[in-house]
Amino acid sequence: MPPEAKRIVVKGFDPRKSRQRQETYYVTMIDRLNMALQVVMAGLGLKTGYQELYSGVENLTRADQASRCFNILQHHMSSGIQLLKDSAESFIQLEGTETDTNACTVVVGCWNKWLERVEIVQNIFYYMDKTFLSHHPDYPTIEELSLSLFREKLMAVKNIQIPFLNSLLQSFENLHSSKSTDHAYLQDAMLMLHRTEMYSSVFVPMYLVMLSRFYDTESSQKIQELPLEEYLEYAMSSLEREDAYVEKFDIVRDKKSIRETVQRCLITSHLDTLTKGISQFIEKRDAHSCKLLYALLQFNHETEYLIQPWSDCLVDVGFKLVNDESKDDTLVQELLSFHKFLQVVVDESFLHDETLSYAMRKAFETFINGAKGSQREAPARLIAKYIDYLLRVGEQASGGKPLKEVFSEILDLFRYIASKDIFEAYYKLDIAKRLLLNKSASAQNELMLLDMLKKTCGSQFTHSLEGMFRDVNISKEFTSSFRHSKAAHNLHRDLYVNVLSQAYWPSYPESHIRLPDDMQQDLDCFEKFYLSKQVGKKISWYASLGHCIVKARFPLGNKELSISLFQACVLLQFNNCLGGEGISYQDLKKSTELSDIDLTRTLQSLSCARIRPLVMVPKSKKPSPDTMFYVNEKFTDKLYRVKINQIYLKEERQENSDVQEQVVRDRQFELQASIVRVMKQKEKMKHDDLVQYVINNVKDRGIPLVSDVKTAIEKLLEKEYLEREDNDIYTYVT
Amino acid sequence: MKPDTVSLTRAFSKATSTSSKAALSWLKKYNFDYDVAYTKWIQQKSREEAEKQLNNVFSQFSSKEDKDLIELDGSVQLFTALDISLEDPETLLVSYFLKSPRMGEFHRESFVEGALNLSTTSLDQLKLAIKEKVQVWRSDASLQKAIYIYTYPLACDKGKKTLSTSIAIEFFQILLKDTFPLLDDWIAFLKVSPIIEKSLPKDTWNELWDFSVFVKSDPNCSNYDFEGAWPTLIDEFVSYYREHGYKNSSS
Repeated sequence: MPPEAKRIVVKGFDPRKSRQRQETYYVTMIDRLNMALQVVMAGLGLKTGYQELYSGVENLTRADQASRCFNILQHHMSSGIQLLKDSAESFIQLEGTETDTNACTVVVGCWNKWLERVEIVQNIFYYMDKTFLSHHPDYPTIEELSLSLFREKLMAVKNIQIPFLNSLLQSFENLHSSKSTDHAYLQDAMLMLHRTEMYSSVFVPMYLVMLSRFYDTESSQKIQELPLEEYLEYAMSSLEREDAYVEKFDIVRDKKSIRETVQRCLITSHLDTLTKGISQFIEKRDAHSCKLLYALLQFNHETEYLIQPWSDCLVDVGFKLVNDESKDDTLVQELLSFHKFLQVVVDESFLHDETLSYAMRKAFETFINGAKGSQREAPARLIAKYIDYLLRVGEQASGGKPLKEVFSEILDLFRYIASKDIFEAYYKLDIAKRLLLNKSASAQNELMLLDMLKKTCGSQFTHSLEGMFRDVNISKEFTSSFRHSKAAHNLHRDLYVNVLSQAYWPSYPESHIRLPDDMQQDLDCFEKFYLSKQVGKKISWYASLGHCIVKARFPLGNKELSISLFQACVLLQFNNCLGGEGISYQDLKKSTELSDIDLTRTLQSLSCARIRPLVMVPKSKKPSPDTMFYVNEKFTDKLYRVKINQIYLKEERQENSDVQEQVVRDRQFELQASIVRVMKQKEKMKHDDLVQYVINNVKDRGIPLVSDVKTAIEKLLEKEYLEREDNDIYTYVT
Repeated sequence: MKPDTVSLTRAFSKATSTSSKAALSWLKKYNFDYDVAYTKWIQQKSREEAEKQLNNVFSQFSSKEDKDLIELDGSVQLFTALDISLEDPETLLVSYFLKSPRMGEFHRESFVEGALNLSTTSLDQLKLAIKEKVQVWRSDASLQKAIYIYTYPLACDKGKKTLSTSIAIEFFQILLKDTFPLLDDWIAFLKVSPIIEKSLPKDTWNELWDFSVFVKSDPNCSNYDFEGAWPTLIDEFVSYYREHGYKNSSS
């Protein structure tokens, strides 16, 4: 109140009386408020008189009577909550424990009633609430008061709280097990918990316990009942459902801990089973399940647990493929499709996960180079063979797929292969056959692959292969210039010569044959011409690689036979047989000078295979010296030009072990050379260092076994290039 | 020339009854330290004497065709004179100390040098010294190893540098019977291995000694390192032994 300065006297105004009147007004007003509050708190509702009550409260507040007002307000709200509590308690007791579900409905009912009543009170006491209570730290606002009363006087009562929470959690559990539940009152209940601040402290811990109990049970059951891929779907959809509930019941604040709890139950507790499941998915080629599994593991950053089972199962599947000799024919295709599938899994299911991609590459290296026993080199050999097949047949072989794509897939496999030298040896043999026998489908494809190999392995690797192509091309030009030269005028027939540099080509057995004189003259003519152009070179003829086209007049029609030089020489002998005379094996041997192996094989190919220009008498698998051969008078064929293959009996097998031996020999030399080089430079080395150094040094061509290196060291010790200084130290002997 | 060197030379020449020229050059060699020079001279003299005696011993056994060589017959006599039976492994010890290049063969120069190293000058002394060494041999591992290593070239045929495995086996039986616990398994292995048709590399022979030592501390070869510096034949043996050998030793 401002300090008294000047007193103003109002006539007829009696301050005492006025104060009395005022007091009377307050008392009446408070009485009314008392009445009204009693009615409101009893839930009967006020019909009229809001305006009067509102101004009364305003007046009282203005007249510094707010604390009185607050006292009666507090009193009546306390008794009001008591009323609700009593009724709730009795309701709950009445219903008993069996119908816990209803405790929740009862409390939510109380809550809604309480909100209604408080709202009326807030309306009436609006002025006091806003001007007095909100500004006084000693007093709570009506809202605060109402919430704390509800919390402390009603919810704190054990007989109410426990049945309520039980029933609430039961409702949530019903919700999870898809029993019908009224969502609306759950939402109300959640709102109440939020507003009374019981949510985080009381509800969430219990909710988490409920969730983990629920999902523990359910997931353990599902993982036994369901196929693994369905379990993954179940886990994924459960997580999604949980996310939806989090939104719906406004528990976003605890989303993280809820997610973690559910993930722990669904994923982490079954981690072992789940990660091991990868082998099923790989076996079933099920990229979708791989993706689900990876996504689930990613939630908890548990993808690293996948590495071991993933690489184990790849190695397992891989070894089954490469160790199975009966699968040789399809091995490369199977490896290709396996690799392609895994590439899809890594890229799409595992989202390019680097460690898993690395594990996959390691797994391939492991099984492709680790096959047992004789299968050890099978992948390298079969890849070379498969490429040969593709290059011979062309795009039909790949089902119309561009060969470039197929090659690049094959080279992906090839990169894993340690014994690149084995591959090279076979590849070289095959290339030679294709080039010399004109069996390649397209020169373009050949060069394309050569180029790709060069990019993969370096020019050193393709050096001799390129030399082979060069030889063939130069021969083409050279033969053509020979044909146009004067020297060729006297030729008895058309002649095509491939001049091969020995260094580039595989070594072939030199087999002798006596050619008919005119043929020999032609060759001599070429040789003379060649040596006149190429000074300082030497030519030797490989008769076993030659092939010819001969015209034949059979009684049933003329044919052109496309045959090997050996076959041609044998058939030409029969030109002298007039009127069905035969020639004995012995005589053929004398006139052709072929070795027994070559002659037998040639005669077999002419008289025992599907196409038989000759007849053998008596018939047998292997001719004896006295066996007679005659021209087949009944020979005929649909085609005009007939191709008769040489017989490659068991040759393949022989070839395999030859190539293998050659490579092993080359490797031993290479190892010894590498050891000598390093020892010359270092003079003294420890065993382990030497072995390591040598392996690193030669690994681009093929990774040797430690025992191979040891054998090489021993050879050098024996040859006294090296000396053993101490148990494991070698010195170089100069 | 300083006066004291002159007198020293004169004294030395007198004491050793050598020419003054020889005395001077000898003294020069030892920097005119009279005592050292004199001791050395005495040693030299006695060595020459011993060599002479030993050469006489050698000549008792040497071949008629080649005076510097003891051949098989002479060797037999030598061993008999040393009281050693031809079947005894001690022949190897004698060969080692008297530097025999090949079984039953001794060369004059190396024989004399070997005998001198044993500080002997006569056949009787040699006999005693050998007896002594035989005692040492029983227990001294470094001598055992030296003789073992020496035996490989000794056992090779004339003009050859390698020893056939079948002969090597006989020597293993003599030399390793007390020191190599897995000797029986080793020999059984050699007999089924393709190596039996070939020669046994010297390096493998030498390393076998260290392997026999290794085996004593690891009888089951469980710590054997296949990638270590052991020769591959020993690798193969260990694989064989792990597969077959335990049976032999347990039964």
